[in-house]
Amino acid sequence: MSLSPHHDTNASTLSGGFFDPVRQAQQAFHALMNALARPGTVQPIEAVEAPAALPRLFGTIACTLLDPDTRLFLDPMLAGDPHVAEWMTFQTGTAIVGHESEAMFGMISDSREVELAAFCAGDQAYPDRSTTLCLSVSSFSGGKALRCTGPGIETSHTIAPAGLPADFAEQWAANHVLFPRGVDLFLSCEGEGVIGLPRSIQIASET
Amino acid sequence: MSTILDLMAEQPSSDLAHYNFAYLDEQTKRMIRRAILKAIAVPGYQVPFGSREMPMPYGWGTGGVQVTASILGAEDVLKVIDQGADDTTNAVSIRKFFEHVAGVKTTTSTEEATVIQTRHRIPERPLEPGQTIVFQVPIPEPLRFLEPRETETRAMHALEEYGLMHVKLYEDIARHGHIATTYAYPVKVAGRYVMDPSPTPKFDNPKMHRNAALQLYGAGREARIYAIPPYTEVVSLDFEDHPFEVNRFDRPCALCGAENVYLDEVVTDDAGGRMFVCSDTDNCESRRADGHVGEMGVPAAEAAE
Amino acid sequence: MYVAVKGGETAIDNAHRLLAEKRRGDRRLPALTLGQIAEQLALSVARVMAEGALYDTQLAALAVKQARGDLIEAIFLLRAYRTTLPRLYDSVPVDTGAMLIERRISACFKDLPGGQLLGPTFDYTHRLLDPNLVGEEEQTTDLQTGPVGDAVVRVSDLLANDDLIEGEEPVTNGHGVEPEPGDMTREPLSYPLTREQRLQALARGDEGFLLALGYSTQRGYGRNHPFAGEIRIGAVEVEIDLPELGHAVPIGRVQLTECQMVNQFRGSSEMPPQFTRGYGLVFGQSERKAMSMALVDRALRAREFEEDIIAPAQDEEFVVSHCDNVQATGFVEHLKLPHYVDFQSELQLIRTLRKEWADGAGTDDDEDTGFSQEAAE
Repeated sequence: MSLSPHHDTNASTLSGGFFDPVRQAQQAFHALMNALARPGTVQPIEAVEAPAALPRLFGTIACTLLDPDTRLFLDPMLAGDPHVAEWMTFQTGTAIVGHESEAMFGMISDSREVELAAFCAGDQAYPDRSTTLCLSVSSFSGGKALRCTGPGIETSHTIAPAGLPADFAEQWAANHVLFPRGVDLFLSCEGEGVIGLPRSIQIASET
Repeated sequence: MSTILDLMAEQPSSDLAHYNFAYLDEQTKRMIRRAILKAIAVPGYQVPFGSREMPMPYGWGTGGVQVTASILGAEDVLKVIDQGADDTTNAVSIRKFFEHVAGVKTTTSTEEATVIQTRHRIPERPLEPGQTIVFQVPIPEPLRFLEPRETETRAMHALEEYGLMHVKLYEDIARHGHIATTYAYPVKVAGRYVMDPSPTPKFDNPKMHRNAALQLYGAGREARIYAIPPYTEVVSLDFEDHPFEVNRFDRPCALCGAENVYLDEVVTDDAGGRMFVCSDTDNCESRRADGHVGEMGVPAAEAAE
Repeated sequence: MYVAVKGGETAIDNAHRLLAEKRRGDRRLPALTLGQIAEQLALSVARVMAEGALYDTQLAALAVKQARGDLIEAIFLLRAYRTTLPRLYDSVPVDTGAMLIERRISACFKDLPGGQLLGPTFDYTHRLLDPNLVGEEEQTTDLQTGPVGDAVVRVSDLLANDDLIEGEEPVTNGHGVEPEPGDMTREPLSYPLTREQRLQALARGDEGFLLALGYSTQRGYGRNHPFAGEIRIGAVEVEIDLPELGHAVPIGRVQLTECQMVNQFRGSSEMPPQFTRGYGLVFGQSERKAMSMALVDRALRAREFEEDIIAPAQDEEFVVSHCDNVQATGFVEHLKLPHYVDFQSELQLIRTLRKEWADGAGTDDDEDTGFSQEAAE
C-alpha cells in the first residue's frame, strides 16, 4: 500500500488499527454478527486507535469488514478531515466513494443528519446489495424510546439511543416497508459497543 | 518453476502451519462475514458469496466449513455432527480439520458447544441463546427441483411468487394422499422467503421456529449463505386440509428409552430384525448416563465395565 | 446387546494409511519422480494445470502422483492449493500472436504465411500399440526441426484484415472503458454472464464435458458450422504491469493451446455478412479441450446473435453450472456419505403409503383416492 507523497504521512495518521488482526477481527465480527442477530442488544466491541476525527469503534468496524472489495461513504464531517480517508485507505484498502447511493458501507459521525433513504436499499432480486450504515451516537440511553420487534427479538426490545434524527422512527418505517430491500444499521457508542438494527425489524416510538 | 514447491518443502509435510487460523485467509473471511451479516438482515434470503475451493470435496460440507471458519474464534467450542451423530466419518473428518487448522476445543456435548456444524439434523436438546448452528447445504434453492434456472427462481423470490411450490405439494397430495416431501421440507421464514432447511428430516422443522440460537446455512458449491436469526417465525408450508405433520415413531429408543426423538433404524440380522435407536448420539448418551435404559439397552454403569 | 458403531477416526486413519501404501504400489519398482511424470506424462500434467487453473508443472506432477493418476482428483488437489495463494498481481493479457510456435495448423487455407507446422501431434499416427515403448530406454530420434522462428500471424487476423470475420474489439462501457473481466473464483457468478466470464468457466471446465457438448453441436444440437481457422500451440510471455517502472515486465513463459473457430456468418441490413468466432484457450498442450471450448463458446453466443436457444450447448446456465468437474465429482460422490436420517424419513412415508394402499385396495370411496382422480383430470 503506497500513499500519494503530497499527503501528510506522519505516524499518527496511519497508526492504529488491529495489532492482532486475526483475533481482533474475529472478536469484532462476533459482536457485529450478534448485534444484527439480536437487534437492540448492546454488544461490547474493542476500540482501535484511529485519527481523532474518527469514532474509534468505526475504526474497529472498518478493520473488520472493509478491504479493497468494498466501497465506503464518509459523511461530510468525516470527509472533512483528510486523515480519516487516508487512514481508511491505508488500514483497509477500501475504495471511498463520494455518493451515498454507491456505498456498500456508510460511516456517519453526525448521526442527527443522516438520511437513510439516500443510501442504497439494494435490488428486489439482490437485496444484499444494499448499504450497511454505521451511526455514531453519543449515548445508548437518554434518547427517545424506540420499541423494536421482529426477527432476532424474543418479544420486544426497547432502546433509547441519544443523537438520532428527530424523525428517525418515520425514516425507519420508510426503510422497513421496502423489505426485503433496505439499509441495515449499526449504532456505535464509544465505550459501550454496538447495537444492530437490521432492515427486517419494526421500530416504533414509545410514547 | 519449482519455487512454490521449494517453499512447500520447507514446511514439514504433515504440518498445516502455513495456513491461516481456521484455514481461510483474512480477506476471504471478511467477504464471507459481510455475506453473513446480509443473510441475518434478510432472513431466509440466499446471499451469493465468493465460495472458495476447500480442501474437502464440494457436497461434503464446504459451505458449512467456510461459514464455521469465518465465525470461529479461539474461545469457541465446536461440535460437528452428521446424521445427528458425532462419530460419523464425515463429522470426524471435519472436526479433525478444525482441530488442526484452528486448534479450537471440540466437544460432542450439545450443551457445551458454542458453534455446532451439522449435516441433516438439529440436536434434540433445545439450543440456547448465544449458540450458533451452522448447516451444510447441498442445494440451497427450495424451488430448484421445480425450476432449474437460477434466473427464474431469483425472479420468483423477488416477486414472492411461490405458487409453484404449493402446486408441487398439492400434486403430492393428489398422487399419494400425503405431501411426499419428508426431508428438506420447505419453510417460510419471517413471513417472506421460502427457504430450504437443508436435508434435515421434517421432524426437525418445528425446531427451527423461534429457536433461541442463530441458524446459519452455507452452500459451498452453489455459493450461497442464508440465515435465520433467533426467535424468528419459521413456518412449514402446508394446506388447511393437509396440515404439516412431523414424522412419528411408534416406539421409544431401544437404548435410552427416549420418546419423541428422531430414531435411526438399525438392521440387526439377516432375517429382517430391526431396532430403533436415537439419531442424536449425544442425547442418547447423556440420557443413558442419567440412568435411562431402553428395552435393548443396559444400565450405564454396567456398560462401562 | 447392541453397541452403536464407533471408531470413525481410527477407520479414517487406517483407510488413509492403506491409500498411501496402494499409491506406492510394489516397492520392488522404483518410485516415480516428479520429473518423470512432468516429462513423460506431460499431457496429463497439462490437463491438471488447465482444469486446476494453476500453471506449475512440478505441482501438477505432484498432484498426479498423489492422486495415483486420477486426473480429476489431481485437479482437485491443485485447486485446493491454488485457492490459498495470495493474488499479488494481474498479468496483462497475453499476446498469442507473439507465440513461439510449436504447432500451428489451419483447416481454412492450404498454405499461409508461417506455414502449416504439425509439431508433436498424435494426428496421422496409426493407433497401433508400440512394442518399442515397453523397454526402459527408447531410441533417440533425429528431430530434424529447425530453429524456432519469428512470430506467426494469426489466421483470424488475416480474415479480420479483410473484414471477413467479426472484429474482436474489447467490450467497453458507456464511457469507453473496458470493464474488469471479473473472476469467478473470487466473486459469485450472476446470470446472464459476460462472454469473458463464460470463457473463464470453460477454460477451467472439464475436458470430457466440453468434448461431449462440442460434439453435440456438430450433430445438430445448436449447429454453428465451424471451420478450424487455426490451432496453435506454443509458449507466450506472461507480463505484469509494475507502476513503479511504468511498463510491463515479463515474469515467465507458459505453454498455451489456442483455437480460433471460424463459424458461419451473420449480417444485417446495417452490416454486410461476416464470419463469427468461437474461441478456446487452454494451459499446456490440449488441443481437444481448446477445440471443444471454441465450439461451445460459439454455441453460447446464441443470445448475442439472436439465435434460437434450443440445445444444451447453447444454454449458458446449463453449461456453466455443470462444466466444473471438481464441483461435479464432489456432489455426485457425496451420495456415498451417510444419508440414513433422510432415508428413514422416506422409509416411514413409503411404509405408510403401502399400508394405506393395502387397506384401501378395491375401494374407491376413500377421500384421498377420490381427490386423486379429481386432480388428475
